[in-house]
Amino acid sequence: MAEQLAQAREPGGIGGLLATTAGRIVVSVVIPIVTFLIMRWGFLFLRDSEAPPLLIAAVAVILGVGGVAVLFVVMNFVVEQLPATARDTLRPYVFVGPGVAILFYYLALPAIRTFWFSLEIKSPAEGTAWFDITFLIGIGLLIVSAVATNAWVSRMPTRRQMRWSSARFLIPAAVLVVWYLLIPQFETLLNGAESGESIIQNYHFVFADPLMREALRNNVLWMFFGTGVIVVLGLLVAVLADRSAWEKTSKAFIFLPMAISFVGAGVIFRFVYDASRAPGQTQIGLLNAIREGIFNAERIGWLQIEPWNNFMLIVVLIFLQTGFAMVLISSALKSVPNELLEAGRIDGASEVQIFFRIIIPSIRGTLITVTTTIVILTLKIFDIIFVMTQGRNGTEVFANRMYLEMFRFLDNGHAGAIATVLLFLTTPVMYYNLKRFSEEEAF
Amino acid sequence: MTSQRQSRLLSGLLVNGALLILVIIWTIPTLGLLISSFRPSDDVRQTGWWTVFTADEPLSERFTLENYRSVLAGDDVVGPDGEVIEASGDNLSRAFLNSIAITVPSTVIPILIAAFAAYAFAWMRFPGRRLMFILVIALLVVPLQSALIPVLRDYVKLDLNGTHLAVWLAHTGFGLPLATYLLFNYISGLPRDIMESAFVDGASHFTVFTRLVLPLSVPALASFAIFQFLWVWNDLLVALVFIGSKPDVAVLTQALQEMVGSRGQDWHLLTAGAFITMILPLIVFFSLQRYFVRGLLAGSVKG
Repeated sequence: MAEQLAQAREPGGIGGLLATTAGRIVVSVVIPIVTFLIMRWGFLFLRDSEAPPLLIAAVAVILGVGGVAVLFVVMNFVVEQLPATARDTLRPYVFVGPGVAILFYYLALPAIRTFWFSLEIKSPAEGTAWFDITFLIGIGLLIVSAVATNAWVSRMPTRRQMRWSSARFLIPAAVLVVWYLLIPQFETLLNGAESGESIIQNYHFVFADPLMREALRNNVLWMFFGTGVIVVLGLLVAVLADRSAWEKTSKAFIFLPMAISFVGAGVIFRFVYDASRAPGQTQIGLLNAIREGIFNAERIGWLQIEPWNNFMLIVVLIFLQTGFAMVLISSALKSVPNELLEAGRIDGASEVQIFFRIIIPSIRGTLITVTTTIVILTLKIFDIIFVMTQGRNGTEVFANRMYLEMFRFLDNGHAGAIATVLLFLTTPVMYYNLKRFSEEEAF
Repeated sequence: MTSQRQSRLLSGLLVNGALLILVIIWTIPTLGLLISSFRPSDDVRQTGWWTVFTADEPLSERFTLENYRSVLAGDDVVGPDGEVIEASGDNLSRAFLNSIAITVPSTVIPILIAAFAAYAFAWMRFPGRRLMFILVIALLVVPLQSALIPVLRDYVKLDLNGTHLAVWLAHTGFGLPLATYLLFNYISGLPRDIMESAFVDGASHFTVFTRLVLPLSVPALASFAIFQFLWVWNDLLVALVFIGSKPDVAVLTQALQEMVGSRGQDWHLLTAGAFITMILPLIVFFSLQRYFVRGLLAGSVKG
């Protein structure tokens, strides 16, 4: 077996040298070092060179693409030089190691480190306390409502349990949100608690700061309105296209914006909403031109009027993401068995009944997938706001606020707390993914 | 009989009519952008883009390439009243090349790393395999916001921020969970007997991977490549955080976002700039739409 492996190895000019053990050791040390030096030279070139942009781009592409390939070839080469047992033990880690290391450093570890940052207080005052009464009550409510909903759902019959399973997460989350929305009603209670600073004061900021509360409201708006419209429109287009004569073309038109960046779409819609021309002048923004030309009404600053400007921004996401929902739903629609629909028709069901009683339940899984994907997207929504309003006029959202805290206010504590809350909000989906993995995969 | 045919005709009309309205609504904003980007600056300032269809001037006066010339070059532009406007910020041709230098490696690196990992998960047995794969699944939905602060702090300490490598690796990290998951699903489904006969012939895992698995996985690789390409090309947040304000490396989305700030009402330039950022994704999208849809369908298993 070892001989066969040796044969399978690429024959090279260093074949003779490889025959001796000492030669092997030298070669397997020299080659990584040489590779490293070349990579390092490339890195420095890209960082410091004043070469023309075209050359730099070409070097970057070659270096980036070639570099990762060379990395694997060299690692494999070194491992091949080892004795058979060590080789067989190590080889899987050559394959899986870089990926796992990067995942660990760029995603897993930062989650913990970000939480650590979130406890950092920018300008600590004396008498930092370990708790804060509103936070403690919030956590208490979260735990109580989670336990109560769980008990309630568990007592249902199995079929209803399936349908209500998401309530296990949604109801406690809703309770927490309502609690923080109610806090101003207990202003006196708060004032008493705020006399000392608390270690979790950055979290207090996330839920109690007026701008953050605005962000919370807006993210909830994005989540419900954005996701709702996208899923319903995606379903509508999928159904309509399925019955039309020009399915492919019409779907391509709706799908096309998926290739457009949020920034690009931001510009497209800033132009649509343009209100820079005075009332007497010709409006060049489409919406205001329609208002003046057809309805004879005065122009509107679409991105200025609270709270409706949020809906104007959400429209951009709808424009971009309806195609995504449509593609997934459309493919699910096609897999609904025809016999099922025929059986419904024979039983005398109307088309509306067939739609709600047969089609919707059959594509339920896909609808849930689309909904969760877009809900997560709306939690993280950033580019559209950053390009179109920068969070002004009551359009603040979590991710924009986090960016501002990081770079404008240089407050990693606040930013870290926002990021941790975002991460916390995605844990139900993470839990669900893991649960399904452990159930389904014979891994 | 006639009434039934009539009602079918009516419903067909309704379906196609509703669909047509939606398609028109979805097209108009982009169409407005595209048309405006080719109109002379004075026209854009004074009349709506829809007037090009009814204007009296000859076509050559209605359309121009001047907007593209000025945003791409970044030279000084002569304004409407004859004064010279400095346009040092709009060097979009530079930004376009930067976008390529960032996007292509940020697409290929995660694919290759993920393919190796996916192969190991699918066809090798080793301690820690299950735990590592659970890590991949758990990280599928982690918002990248939770990674920004620590990674940025390390980058600044290592003086890496604003370098190509830093951005490639960040995009690699954020794209890897989905890439590994997608490619694992595909690679683990490859026919067992092909692999086994290769091993019997004495091929090493490395040979099997490069000679057999990679070529066989091209459809899955292509699907994810388009996905990641569009994602990285269109990304703003990662670029803002890890490139920051380095004009030498700044990508198109950053440049466009800066234009929105600095010349928010110069619609003739903004529209041209926006279209430049969109052109390559649109080409990729149209030529490889089939793979993209396939990737979407496979990738949506997450969440």
